[in-house]
Amino acid sequence: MDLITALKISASGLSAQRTRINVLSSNLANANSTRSADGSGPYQRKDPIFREIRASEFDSTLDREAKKLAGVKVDGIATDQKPGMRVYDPTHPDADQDGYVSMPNVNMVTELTDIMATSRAYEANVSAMSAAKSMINAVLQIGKG
Amino acid sequence: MKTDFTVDILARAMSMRLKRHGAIAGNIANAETPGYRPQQVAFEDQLQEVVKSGSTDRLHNMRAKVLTVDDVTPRQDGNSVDLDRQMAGLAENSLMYNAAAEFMARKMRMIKSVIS
Amino acid sequence: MKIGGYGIYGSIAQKGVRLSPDLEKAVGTTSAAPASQDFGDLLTKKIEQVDEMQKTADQAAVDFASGKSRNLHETVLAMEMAETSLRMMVTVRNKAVEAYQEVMRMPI
Repeated sequence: MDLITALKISASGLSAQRTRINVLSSNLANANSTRSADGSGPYQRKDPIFREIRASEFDSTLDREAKKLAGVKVDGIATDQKPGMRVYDPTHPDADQDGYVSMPNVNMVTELTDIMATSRAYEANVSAMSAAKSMINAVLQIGKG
Repeated sequence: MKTDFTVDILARAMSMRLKRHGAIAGNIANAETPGYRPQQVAFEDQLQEVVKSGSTDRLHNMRAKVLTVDDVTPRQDGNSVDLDRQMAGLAENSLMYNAAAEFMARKMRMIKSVIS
Repeated sequence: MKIGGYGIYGSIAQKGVRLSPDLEKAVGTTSAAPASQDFGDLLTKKIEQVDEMQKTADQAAVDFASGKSRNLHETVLAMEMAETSLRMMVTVRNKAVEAYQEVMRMPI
């Protein structure tokens, strides 16, 4: 394992968390979208699928033990199929024949909590990168002075 | 130039700590991945044996072990990473790595000062 | 300050700074020179002491690196003392060589 590989692992974490923030923001923005882009019903919230990737993807020269270490990647965006609330509002343009409107299955509180957790996870990956950078600097001091 | 045993040990300790950093970075990156369990690198016991024996052959033969160790009982999605514990490990490990680099720098300086 | 510089380190110990047994052994208290002792013996003894400090510093460094000792400040102190005593010895060597060369340049 060298420091550059470690930086790549942390970078994969940053990238994954960034994707998650984007998806969560999109959920929040569409909390009231009663019609989705393809017109098939209300907006359904999305979730990124995180999957671990073996460190050998970053560096093929790792030894047998180090190959067990892992970075992360987003393996696709899943759509949450759970139905949202149904609200009685016959005057709404998207009301069905009974006068009910199907709302998106987005819960603001849940989305905001997830955004805070994502932000914290992002910062943790930043700390890991900073630690790696300080280690690189420490090594570069070895011959000096 | 025949390398000094101390320098060899310091260099090996740094390699091991680098591997440990890789494990911690991976745990942090996967702190939210479903089913992921944190990994740890163990090397101190082996290295202490090598120091006691004073043998460079044993040094060359030693290998770090990567173990899977849960931080907390696995949550609903199977993930068992505790971010705070990983961050503490990150801080300690980079400190120890930097300290070893510093000691290596001092050793080199001492060797060079005699040559000057 | 005595040749070799242990006067300084001895006084650090006397001021009440607690050192580990290894360090105290390496620093030691300066012993009074016996009445007849030639320069060669003195030099050899001082070189041995510098070597002892090197060994102590090496041991401290590897013990810290392998996790056996968690005492960062003692390790740094041991390395610092080893380096300073070494530098002092190197300076003495250099001065001795200079002095020799100066003497050799003198016309008879």
